Amino acid sequence: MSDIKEKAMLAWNRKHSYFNLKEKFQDDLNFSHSNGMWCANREFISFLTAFQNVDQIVLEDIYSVPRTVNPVELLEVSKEKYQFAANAWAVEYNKLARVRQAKNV
Amino acid sequence: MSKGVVIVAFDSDTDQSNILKYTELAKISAAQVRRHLKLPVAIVTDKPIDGFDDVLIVDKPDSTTRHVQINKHHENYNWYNDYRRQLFYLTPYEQTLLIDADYFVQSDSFLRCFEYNDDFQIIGNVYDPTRRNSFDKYRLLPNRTIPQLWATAMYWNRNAGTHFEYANNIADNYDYYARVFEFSPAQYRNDMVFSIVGHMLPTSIMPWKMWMTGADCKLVDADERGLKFEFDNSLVRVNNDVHVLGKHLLFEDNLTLLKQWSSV
Repeated sequence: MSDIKEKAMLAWNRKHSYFNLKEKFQDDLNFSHSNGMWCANREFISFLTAFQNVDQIVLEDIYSVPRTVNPVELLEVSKEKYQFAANAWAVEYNKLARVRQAKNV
Repeated sequence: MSKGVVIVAFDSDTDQSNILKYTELAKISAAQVRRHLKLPVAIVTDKPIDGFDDVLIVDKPDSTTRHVQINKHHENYNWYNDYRRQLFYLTPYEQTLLIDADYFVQSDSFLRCFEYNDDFQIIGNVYDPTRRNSFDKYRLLPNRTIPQLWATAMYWNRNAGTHFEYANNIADNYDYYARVFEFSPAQYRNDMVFSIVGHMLPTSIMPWKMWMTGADCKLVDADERGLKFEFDNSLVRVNNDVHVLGKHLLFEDNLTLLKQWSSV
């Protein structure tokens, strides 16, 4: 009986799990390229699209180090990283959305 | 350049004659590394053991006494914590990632350290997946001056000799640094030593948060969806790299569960 009570007490906070997924998504956006470390977020991708007609620019990476990079290449990789991370997020989010009981977490 | 992961693990007897099998935990952790990072794993320990690509046998280092609760019994054990500052000369790899035996890799995040290859990289940010912000109080060293870094996971290459020389210097003068930064000198803590190293010498903070579950989080399940923890009558499933602080992991039933999970 006490075992049943204990199990019934267990709760699962769906919102927390969603937060955790988002946290993981944001971490997954970081990647290394051209000796720098970058974050493939929406702002970074938008910024890079403004430099697609030049071969080289100097950009500050996430450690605040100015790096000479090829903006075309970097945009390509950034888009890839963003899509991969966002897809993984969406897949996991949909799985969580289908969970109805704590025992299925 | 050769790349690999190093885990330090020494088994410890409690004062009630139970054995805390850190080397078994290290085997599980190594299996996770091989699966997700596809890198060889070396263990630093005091006796021959299988299940690793390299075994580095050393004398057990000095220990301090720690406390653990096993099946409602309170027991003391020797905590062999002081070895990683010597690993610069010991590692068989040119690019080394060191992780704790209770850090379970479930993604390829750490590969970014090898790609970036800055000389010394360490964890600087922690995330509590139970959303209780349990570790916010450790953002800075106790005297609130410099950020606390986490030696749970560190990366270095052959250029990081100075970092380890300095770590040895701090450890040799531990009481002095404990007074300056106001942490307890009673137990040697790698986190304290490498926080000071990271503050004084060029260091890259790994650009993601280390997920960590507190000592009150109990492992209740492990499968392809990740590790499931129970805390405060709540549940959370963690499908990301996670450092598990609870010593209950070392209990036989949990080791069995984790071995099945990682297919050791």
